[in-house]
Amino acid sequence: MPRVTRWFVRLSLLYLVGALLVGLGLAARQMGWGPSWIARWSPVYFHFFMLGWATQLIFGVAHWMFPNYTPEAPRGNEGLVWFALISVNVGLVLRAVAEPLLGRGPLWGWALVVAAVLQWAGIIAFVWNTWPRVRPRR
Amino acid sequence: MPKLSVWYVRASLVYLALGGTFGAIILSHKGIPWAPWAWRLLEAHIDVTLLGWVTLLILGVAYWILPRFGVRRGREGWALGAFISMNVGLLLVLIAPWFLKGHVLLFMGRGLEAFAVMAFVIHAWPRVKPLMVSTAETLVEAAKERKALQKEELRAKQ
Repeated sequence: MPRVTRWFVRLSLLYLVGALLVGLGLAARQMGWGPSWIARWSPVYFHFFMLGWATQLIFGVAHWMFPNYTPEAPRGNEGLVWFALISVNVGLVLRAVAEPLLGRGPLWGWALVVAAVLQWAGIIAFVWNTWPRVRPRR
Repeated sequence: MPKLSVWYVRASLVYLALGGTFGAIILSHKGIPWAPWAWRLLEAHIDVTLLGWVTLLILGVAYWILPRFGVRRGREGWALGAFISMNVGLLLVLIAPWFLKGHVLLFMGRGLEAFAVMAFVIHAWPRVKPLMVSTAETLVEAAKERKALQKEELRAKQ
């Protein structure tokens, strides 16, 4: 298993745990427990599941198992995949921090914009590197 | 990877890029309002991500790796139908918010998505089975099927 795959898979497992904890917090909030800003984490709950857990697990396994690109660079441009890993994760964590603080000054609004760009750039980098590896058997 | 799986997986990558772009537009607009139409993308963002990205990828890989019947993959037409139906359905969901009678398009799109999933289930159901045990007879049978398939492909190319 390549090193970047190990990072993707381990981080995806952490997001799964994180998503369930956020879900627990949201359920607690509905019972009137905890601070009110927790309710703003509802989109974070879904995105921890979809992007943090499912998508990152797929990224890791696809990078590992998809058909080789060329014998010289079997997995394409590994740097691009490392960029995808860092960009998606920094973006996702920044979003989780900024989302409940939105409305407490323009800084947090801009933080969401940066989070959006980072997540988008990470996704595009992964798609760019994976595309040529999806091909019929030679 | 069979051709149909290539189509499924490539389509899923396109939907991932599209879903990510929609999500980035919505999230950045939430931070600093710049696109008042951004929230119209929400339905498409959800469908494109859940069905276009994750589901098509899973179906494409399932079509590739589920146990086969010799060299054939069983009801292949249903898998092709599922691919076409899912893509047309997603397209309708994508364009629905921009039309006055968008709810009709959304309904039709969701219908096609549901049909696509059912069609794939019809394709995949018999393939969920234990691996065939290779005996001399089954190996000869598989070799015959492979030859017949190669002849068919050659004829189609000519």
